[in-house]
Amino acid sequence: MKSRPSFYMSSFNEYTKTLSKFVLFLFIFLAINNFFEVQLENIAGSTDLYAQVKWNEFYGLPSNSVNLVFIGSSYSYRTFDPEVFDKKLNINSFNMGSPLQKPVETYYVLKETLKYQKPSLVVLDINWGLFNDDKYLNTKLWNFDNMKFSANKIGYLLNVFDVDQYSYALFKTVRYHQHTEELIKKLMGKDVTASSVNLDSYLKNYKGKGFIVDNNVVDVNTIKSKFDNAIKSPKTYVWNKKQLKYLDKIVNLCKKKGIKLIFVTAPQSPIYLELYDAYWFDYENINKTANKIADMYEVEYIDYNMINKEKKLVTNEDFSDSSHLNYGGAQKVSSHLAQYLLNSKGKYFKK
Amino acid sequence: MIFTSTKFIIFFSLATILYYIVKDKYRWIVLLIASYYFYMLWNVKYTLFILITTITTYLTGILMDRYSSQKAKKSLLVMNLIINSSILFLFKYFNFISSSLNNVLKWVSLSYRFPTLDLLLPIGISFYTFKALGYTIDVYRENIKAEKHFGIFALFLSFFPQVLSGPIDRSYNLIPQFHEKHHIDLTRIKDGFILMLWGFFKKLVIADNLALFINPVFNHPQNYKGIPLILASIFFAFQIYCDFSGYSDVAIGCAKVLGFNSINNFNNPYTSKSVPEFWRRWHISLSSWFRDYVYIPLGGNRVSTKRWCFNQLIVFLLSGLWHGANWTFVIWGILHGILTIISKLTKNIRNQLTDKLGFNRHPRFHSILQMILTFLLVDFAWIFFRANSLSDAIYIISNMFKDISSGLSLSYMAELLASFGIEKYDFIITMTFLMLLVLMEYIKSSNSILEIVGSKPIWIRWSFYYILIFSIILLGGYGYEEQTQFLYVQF
Repeated sequence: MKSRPSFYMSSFNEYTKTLSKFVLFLFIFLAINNFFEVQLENIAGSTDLYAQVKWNEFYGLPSNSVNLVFIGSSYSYRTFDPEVFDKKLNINSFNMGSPLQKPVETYYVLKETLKYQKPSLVVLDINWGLFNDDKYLNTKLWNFDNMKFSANKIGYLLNVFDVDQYSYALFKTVRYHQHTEELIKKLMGKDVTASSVNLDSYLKNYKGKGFIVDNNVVDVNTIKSKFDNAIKSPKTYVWNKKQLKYLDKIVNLCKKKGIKLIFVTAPQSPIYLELYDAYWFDYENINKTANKIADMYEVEYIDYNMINKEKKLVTNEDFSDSSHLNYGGAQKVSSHLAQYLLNSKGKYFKK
Repeated sequence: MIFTSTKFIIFFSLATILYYIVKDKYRWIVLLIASYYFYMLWNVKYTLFILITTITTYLTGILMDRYSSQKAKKSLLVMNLIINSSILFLFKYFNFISSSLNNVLKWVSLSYRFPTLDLLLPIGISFYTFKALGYTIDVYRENIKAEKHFGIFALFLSFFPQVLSGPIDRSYNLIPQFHEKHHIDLTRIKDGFILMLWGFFKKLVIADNLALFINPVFNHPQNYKGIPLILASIFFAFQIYCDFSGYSDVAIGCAKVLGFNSINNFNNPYTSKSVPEFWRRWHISLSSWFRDYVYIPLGGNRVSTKRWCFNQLIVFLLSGLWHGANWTFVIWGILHGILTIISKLTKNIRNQLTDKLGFNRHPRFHSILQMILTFLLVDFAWIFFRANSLSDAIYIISNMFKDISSGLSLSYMAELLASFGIEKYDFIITMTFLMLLVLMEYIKSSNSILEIVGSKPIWIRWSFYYILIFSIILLGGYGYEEQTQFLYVQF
């Protein structure tokens, strides 16, 4: 190979020229990338419509107008209906729950929430199943895609995603690259059936303020069938250290902002809990650990599975699947918690 | 952390920035820390073995320099060769030899069994061991002075762009560069990134997409006959080329960004007109290693024909074994040895035949014919290289020409692709890129993509870069849950 003249940069002009070329190259790259992103997203179809609507609604709220925030996984947004709390307590509440939201995600979602709102109480879903470190990408994206750009969003990117997921979070061309075949067909003028979702039918279950309704009633046999080949050997659940670290950060964030915090565990269907306890994990141990954590932080903990064992607040018919309440069930649990807050002698809200 | 992962891109960017920020005299420290960090990410325990090789080879070099007696030097050389080869033997060949002997014992109905060890092969061991052996021999031959700086020497063996799969750089090429000052040369940095991009393209767009076809066929060859076996065998030749030359381009590109010139590893191997020429163009750093440290000491070509043939077989047998402790690699190596011998022994006959057939009047046609024939021979040998066992290789060879007619229809191909989960358009695009690559390799006289692209107007250059980038993003065979490892990392 012939040696080309060396380009040792001693001159400022040469640096500027190279830098300008680099910026132009980057700009064209982003423009082309954007073209492909739009095309691919149209083909792939959005899967985060609930998240889009919820975040839009949230960002549209007047500043400091929310008194109560529910936060956590689907156990939060499928259990706590803000409307029930608003009526009963004469407040304004909002549910910031999202699918598979683990404490690490909750921390950044809560930080984002507190940038715009100053609630006096946060009800945090601490379902033990979220204290894991699974690598599932999609649900992490649902909050990321809809959060406004800020240092907090960068924090979310760096801490919620694995390093190898960064490119998926930042570039939709990377995220949807498996749809390239359809894109090629489309660019060649062929008909491509986009995996589009009927927005109206999709959103009819969104009741507003982050709450999602499901009217289905679970078939108990379906739950039982999950354990058909299982062996009865309940183990002790191991709570993931990273998620515990972020739970600590959530507690400290609330303390720093002078916000009261309640930990809750939404109920599982009684049949599922009974089988889960018998076959997979010892629930008493899970409850003990959760109580220990709450005691350590001096935070009140409400475990609806234990309450349900005593008071039979909800039955199997109140669930849409093994673990999520249907609308009827959600109304019962929401009313119970609202009443509890009302009875708390002004600890959380004035009567 | 593999080269095609986001983790590597971030690691490499940070290492490069840090490297250029610190003062010249401390840069080797940045590279050494980065190299050991990179290596340790695979398995911390492996570090022990690269450290043993580093310390023993470093001390051998120092002692060789100190002693003037040839006898003492020779003893040191032999000692070092034994230590380093023993580590390699223990991890790579012990179980192979044990289980081969056990098979023999079983065959002759003896109950004794040699033990096998439950050891995981330290990554890159074949590469850094050969680097170390080459260095020791060079010091012994006084081709270079022993490196006095332990840190620089440790960096030579562990240099992160090369530690996993080479190129097996020579001490006299690389070590002096670690002592030089490297200024920020934007052209060199840009060239390095282009080379990396080209490597990613070959690996992710061509090799990994071809793998979707090749893997199911080679993993279960008994399920196929005829066309799928032929296609998988041909595609594998390109998969391994794009995979390994892609890796080498990324490695050489990384080194270039940091200011280092690495030994070249490939030079359009499939345009070779004979098997010996193929070996001058394929995995150059390894074949030249065998040439300099095994073939020439055995007498090179200054020996009788009989002895020369024997030497060739030894060199290719070692080359086969270097790739892996498996009979498939042994056969692959010996096959190449035999083809090289036949090539030399039949040279006169072939020349006469060429004259008789009048091929010398059509040199281009003749050279294309030679290239195709060489490719077919090399490709035949690749079957042994890729097959999971000797019986699989024999099955493929004996069944690849059966039921060919039934496999020639488009509907059969479409069905076959669908059964592998390959999208039709993706396959067509991969094939198009493959054709373009072959055409480019054939047309270009120069080895370097940088020269071909660099001389073109800016709009052509940039279009080329964008095509590469978006092909990688949109067509690359990657996923965040599953990353496809480079084939040569296993060696």
